[in-house]
Amino acid sequence: MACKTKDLEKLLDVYALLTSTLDLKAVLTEVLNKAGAALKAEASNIMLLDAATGELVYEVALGEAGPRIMEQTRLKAGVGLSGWVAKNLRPLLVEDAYKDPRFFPGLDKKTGFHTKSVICVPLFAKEQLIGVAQVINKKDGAAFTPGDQVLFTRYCGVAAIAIDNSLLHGKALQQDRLQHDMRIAEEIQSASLPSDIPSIRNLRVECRSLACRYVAGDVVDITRLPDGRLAVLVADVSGKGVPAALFGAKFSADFEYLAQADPEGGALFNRLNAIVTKRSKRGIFITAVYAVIDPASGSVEFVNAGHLPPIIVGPAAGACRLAGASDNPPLGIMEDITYKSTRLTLATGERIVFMTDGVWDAKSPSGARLGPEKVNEILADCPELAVPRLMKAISRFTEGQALADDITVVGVGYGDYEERTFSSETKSLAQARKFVEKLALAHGFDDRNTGAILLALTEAVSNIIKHTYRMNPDEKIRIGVGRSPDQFSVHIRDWGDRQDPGRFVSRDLADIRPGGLGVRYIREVMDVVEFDDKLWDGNELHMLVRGKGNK
Amino acid sequence: MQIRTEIVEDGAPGRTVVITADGEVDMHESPRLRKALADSIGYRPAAVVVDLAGVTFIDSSGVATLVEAMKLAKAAGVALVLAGMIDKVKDVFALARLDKFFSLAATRQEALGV
Repeated sequence: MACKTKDLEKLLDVYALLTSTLDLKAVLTEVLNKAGAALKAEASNIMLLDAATGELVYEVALGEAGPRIMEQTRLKAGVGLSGWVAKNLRPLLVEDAYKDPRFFPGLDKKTGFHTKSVICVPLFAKEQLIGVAQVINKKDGAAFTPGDQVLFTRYCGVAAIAIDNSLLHGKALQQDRLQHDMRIAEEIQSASLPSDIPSIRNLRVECRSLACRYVAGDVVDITRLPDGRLAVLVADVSGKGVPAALFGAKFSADFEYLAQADPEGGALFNRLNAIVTKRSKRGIFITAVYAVIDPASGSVEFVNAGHLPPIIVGPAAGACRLAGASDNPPLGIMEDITYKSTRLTLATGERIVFMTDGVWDAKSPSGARLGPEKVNEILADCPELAVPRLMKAISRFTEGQALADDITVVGVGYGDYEERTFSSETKSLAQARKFVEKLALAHGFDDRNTGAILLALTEAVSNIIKHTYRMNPDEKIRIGVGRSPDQFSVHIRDWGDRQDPGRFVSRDLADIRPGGLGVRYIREVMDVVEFDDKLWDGNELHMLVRGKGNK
Repeated sequence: MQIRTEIVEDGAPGRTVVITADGEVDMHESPRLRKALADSIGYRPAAVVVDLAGVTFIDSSGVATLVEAMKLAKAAGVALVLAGMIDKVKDVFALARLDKFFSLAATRQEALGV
């Protein structure tokens, strides 16, 4: 009885090992040391199952021959006593190994050890075999007893938990590493998205992109051509996640290279299609739309390869037309297709919107799809703010749920539009006012109303300098001013940390104290104020004054 | 922004510091106005007149500077008067309903009572 209590105490000590270290070898060595001492064994070892080959791999071997056993590394499936235990999932007590036909004497020959009595026990985790443990030869020369087997089985229970913990920990680490890699991939892909879109007079360009996983299969490219025209590519690689992103990254590089040589749509898509078709594996293909827009005339030459037709909204609220459906197949389906481009002309105040079908496929928590009708309605509701409002609507519709597909939206507004970029120094405030003042007066606002617009502008830019950039003077702020017969709009873009619009509250006017007035001024002066936090880098504030001057 | 400070001994309120600001008051400029106001109030005159006739633009940082000065002046027993604001500057005070909170004078002369 006293002996049994002592054995149990030793076993409790072994359990304490489980929480002391994550080093599997250290735990298993300790378990075998303690089991060996309790059973007075000459040698012991633990082998782990290699599930792929069925072989048993030595993890720890103690005793005189331990180092030489470890050199053998692995045992073929079914070989020897341990192979039998792994196959039959039953423990084994052998009094004299050389009298047992299942015994494999090869190891003894190699190591010079002489095996006599053996206890060999299978190790399980979640009812699956994970390895085999054995103790060999009693030091006093006697054979192991059934009592020894019971005790050793208990020690082996601890070893199994340690192995299972270690495997789980390894899997968690692997998962962590994978997630870390995916985050880096996401950063790399974000960095390749057009952030500082080229400034072209008369064209207001907006671009938004959301990945349904870490990385997206959507491709977007916005370039100012040497002749001053704007080239826009929006493409969607079939499938999602890493394969689509990799295929898209290569496509993007091919596009950049080929577009430099000849940016004209039809010929460009013919060459891209030949490359994509050759490279396509597992039926992967790309839908794409590519447009070249002339800021002088509003003319748009575009080619559509099986992509959603661009939507044209404005100039009046509610006006919406489709640029014509594609009669070209996607890229990568078959070679020797001649892609043809189409022409259209944007009227002043119109905005052409390119998007991937992830927008239509955005889903609400109840499973409803956003769909084309709703998308067109949102875009047409306020053409000047079509893109940011669409992104906000998607966010509201999905209620933060994971996206069903990647989403990319590019809007190009044609009309009277100018933008300038300023440094984030406080002295830029006066320069920014000068830029906007000239345009506000030209729009027809009188001195007083122009002053009000400049107040809103100054407050907004001051907030960026102070709060977003925390007075760092080395950042940049871009101010765009759009003018249409019934509207004057100011768009202020920064590249700082994403700001929480909930933070922008104007203070109670009864509370007379310095500060907190900026937001109040902006809201009092402007007819529409919308904060846009759906960019992938930075923020944008949109401010609109309705009417042609003299508010 | 240009700032000039002068002391008028024979103003109606008594010894008065007149701060004359010209140009635009925004976050870049308001720290200098703040210092001029704090120095003037610290001098403990009977009144401080801020002549804003030459100010063509003011933003919330400028308004905040004047609100702070008003509180400082009140605590020090110094009268603070804003003088000569043009309409679009006055609008900025009106938008924040602060036009009632300040003592306003149409001109520097009216503020000095001369």
